[in-house]
Amino acid sequence: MINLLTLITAMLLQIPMADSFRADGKIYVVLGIILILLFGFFAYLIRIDRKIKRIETEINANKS
Amino acid sequence: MKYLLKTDWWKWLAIALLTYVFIGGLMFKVPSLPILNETIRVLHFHVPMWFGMLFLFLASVIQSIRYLSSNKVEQDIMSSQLATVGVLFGILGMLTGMFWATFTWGEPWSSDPKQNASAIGLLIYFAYFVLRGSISDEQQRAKISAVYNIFAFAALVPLLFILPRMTDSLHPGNGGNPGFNAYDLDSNLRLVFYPAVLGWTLLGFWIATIKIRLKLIKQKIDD
Repeated sequence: MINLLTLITAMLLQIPMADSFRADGKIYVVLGIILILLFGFFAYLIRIDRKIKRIETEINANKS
Repeated sequence: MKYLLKTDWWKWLAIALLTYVFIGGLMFKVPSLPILNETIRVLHFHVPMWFGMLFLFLASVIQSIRYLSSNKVEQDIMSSQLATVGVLFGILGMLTGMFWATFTWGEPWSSDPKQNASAIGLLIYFAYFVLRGSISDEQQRAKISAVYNIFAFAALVPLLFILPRMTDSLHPGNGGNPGFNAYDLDSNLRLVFYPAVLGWTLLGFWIATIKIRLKLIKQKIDD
């Protein structure tokens, strides 16, 4: 029911969506940039994680 | 929490989920709704901030309770660091929400019940850090802030989940507004939203464990 309603409103109101942008293929550029950033941050986080792990083992070795 | 500090596999899960969320969240078909347009995709990024905040605060309050029964400093460290990351998520949730509201509700702050309630909730948690900062005795700080943390969480839950539902709110699922059921006709949204909540929450816990480990190291050096 709601499905039908939205469909009708969508057709009647001509709700603007980024369809042509997607069709032009440019959205993939945005997605690419976002993924580069995301993986950059992930890699950074993993590096910090590893560094802390190294310090942890160092300290534990000194303690015992 | 101890388990999360020792294991790594869930970090890879967080990376996988968030990668999927960014691809799916941007590319999957979404329902065409007036006013919302493409901004409906914000669901996968703004809303999980609040869910993440809530899970972090929940973990924090559990550590607080455990601290009160065990008196172990580690538990106080975990509790405070989880709350810090929770507040970070809350602030990010608020900023993203205000930015989104500028283009959909017409202004960044409509004094919507849920907006006001979440602002109050965050202020309660800001007071938690003020409280922590104002007590120099370690034992006392840990004990008092643990008790305050329980109160803070107990205040936050009705502020976010009960009071906004008693009145009209612009947020979905509150007052006269439709909840998820109204637009989950597009199950694509759910397909990304649930992994988004889990992924962002795990990311929050990842950052929190790094902060906790840093504090634990500092404590070990100080001893």
